[in-house]
Amino acid sequence: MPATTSLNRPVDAIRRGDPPAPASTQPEARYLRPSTGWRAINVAELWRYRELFVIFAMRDIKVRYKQTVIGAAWALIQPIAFTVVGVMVFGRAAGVGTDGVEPAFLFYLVSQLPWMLFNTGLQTSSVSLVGAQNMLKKVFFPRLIIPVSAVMVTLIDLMVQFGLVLVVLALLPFLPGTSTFVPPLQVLLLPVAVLWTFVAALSVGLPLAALNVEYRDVRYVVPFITQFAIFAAPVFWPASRLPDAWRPLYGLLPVAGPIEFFRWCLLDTPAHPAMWAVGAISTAVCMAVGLAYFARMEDRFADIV
Amino acid sequence: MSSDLAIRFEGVGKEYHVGAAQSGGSSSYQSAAERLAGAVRHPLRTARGFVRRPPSETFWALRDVSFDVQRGEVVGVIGRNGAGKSTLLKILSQITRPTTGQIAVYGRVGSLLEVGTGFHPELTGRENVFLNGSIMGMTQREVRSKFDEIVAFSEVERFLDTPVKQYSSGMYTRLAFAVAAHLDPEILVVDEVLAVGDAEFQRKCLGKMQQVAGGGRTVLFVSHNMAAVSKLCHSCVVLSSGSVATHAATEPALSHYMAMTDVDELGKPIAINSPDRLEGELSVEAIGQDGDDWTLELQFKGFNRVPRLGVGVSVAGPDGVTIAKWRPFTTRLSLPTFAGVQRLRFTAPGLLRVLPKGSYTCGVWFAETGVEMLAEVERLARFDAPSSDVHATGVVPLHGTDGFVCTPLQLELG
Repeated sequence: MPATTSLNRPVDAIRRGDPPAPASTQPEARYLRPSTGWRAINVAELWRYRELFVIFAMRDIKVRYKQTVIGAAWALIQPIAFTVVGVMVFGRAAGVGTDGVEPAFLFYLVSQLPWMLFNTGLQTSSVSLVGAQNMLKKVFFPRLIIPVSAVMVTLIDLMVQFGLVLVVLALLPFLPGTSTFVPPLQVLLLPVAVLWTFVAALSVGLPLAALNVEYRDVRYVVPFITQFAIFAAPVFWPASRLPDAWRPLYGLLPVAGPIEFFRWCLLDTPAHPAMWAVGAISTAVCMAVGLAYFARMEDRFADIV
Repeated sequence: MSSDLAIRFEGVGKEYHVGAAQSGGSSSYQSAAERLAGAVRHPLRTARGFVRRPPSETFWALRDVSFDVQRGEVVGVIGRNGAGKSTLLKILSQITRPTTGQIAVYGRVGSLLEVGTGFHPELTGRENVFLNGSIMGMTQREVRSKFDEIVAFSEVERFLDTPVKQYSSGMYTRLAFAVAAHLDPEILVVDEVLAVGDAEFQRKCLGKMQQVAGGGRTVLFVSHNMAAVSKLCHSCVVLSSGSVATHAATEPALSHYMAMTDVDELGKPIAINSPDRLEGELSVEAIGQDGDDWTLELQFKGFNRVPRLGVGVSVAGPDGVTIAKWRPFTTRLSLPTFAGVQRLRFTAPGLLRVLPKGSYTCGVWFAETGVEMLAEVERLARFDAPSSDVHATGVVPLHGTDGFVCTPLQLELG
């Protein structure tokens, strides 16, 4: 027997009359070592656990509307209510305009889709790790799956809301003074808009989720962020109302670019390439920083949660 | 390197920070406000803290642990509460990282630190099998192919489409263990999971474990159940205060563990820590006899409130075999809801009259409303059963040689 520090094997094996271990191929060694601080996300591991993204998302979706009366229709209440607020307050009273979208309620309704994806995604992902603390302490899987699948859940809401938008668009010709809706060519880019919004939500939610593990203050910060963002973001008003020189800078707000891009895709509102470019770069940088911070903190989650 | 090595621990250490907030009990994190308050009180220290983390109290849950596990070996990990068993398994399961050293692992690790991790009460039994299986590292295909076996093992076929919140705790445990039992890793890591469920189910779990162990799988098994350890394990690692005290074949390791003179001194507090459930300190005030009555006096300092906390006592012989066990489930002994200091005095009338002469240890355990075990402290204190000449012959019955119980015996001829 080669030199190992196992004291007992020979004695024990003889005592029990164990057969010698089969000389099959030795699996590759994996090393569990102290945390190295800043490190990359382990993509191979994420890939191995890819099913878990969907499984966690499905769990939350199944659980979400259990024991509710109207079920998934809840996903529609908020955008409808906010559309009414948009028409009354921002359309009638403030008159901030809708980038020429007629009828005005279409502008407000469509704006709700990327906004709610961002808002709900940010809220659920930021509390997701603490909500899963028992799992963090008892079983291993890549922790990144938790906040990502939390945002994935909101995609279901988005689909339901998108159904509503389609119904509204189909009914438009029957409204007095409106014509048939013809989607612009860039409607094909809508998946990109959804993806961007998704990543934007995650880029903010991810570091907040990691921070929340150590500092529960995040719980109180997030509602503040979203209440602030609903006015700061172009949810109820178009970014074209901003001075041209400021608009690219405005793209730094993570949720501003996706909303404008989403509206452009579906409603052909004015394009703001400079603002989108700034927004896309800012989302990418936020995401990279968020991932790096997450990967650094990941090793300590079980110890401090 | 040996070709049949499964796991190699090399100088593994794990340091935990014990902050001021933590010793207070339930809150294990500091809010920014607490840090801010600290900053106001100690501006200089905080300023330094921004540069370098302030020195906080630390303790080493594991220290320089090195040992090898060969492929196909079934190794028991034993030790008292706080000896570092759970930390060892957590590091091996990749839940947390070591502070020093490294572990080389050859093969896929499946760990079972808890049954039913991630079970969702609103979901049905069927849905939870798939959810739980995936969380533990099975693919959906694997779960599907083993689904029938899992269901058969769990004996809850009829309730598969019922939300598990409506399950009895026994059904819940059976289903959860069934999933875990069908994990198929090369290296299986099992924490004290057999402590749950009824005796029949425990026997079944043990059988399953034996089957796994017999199948050439490498198993690391933590248990308080000495009978299970000696039945299942080829060798044992005895941990004491975070270090390896012995690593030897099961029998010598067990007897070494039993002989270890680390039964706590009276009055020395022992931390009870079942995170989020029960946290407190336990100390033995007195242990002794009152005629034939055996008495144990404890002081329990609870840090959090647990409604109707069930308490139990056990007595074990010098070889670690449990002789008497008063389970809260049967005795219905419980503490009223409280957080704070409480003195407990247990009396077992007549116990000393029936115990043969020998050196015994006693343990205490806590359970929630008599069902789920929250914490167990074994070998809490040692006591001697006095020589009792029950037969009035001058020859005193001895523990083991004369069995576990002695009473006078009469003979009548007719």
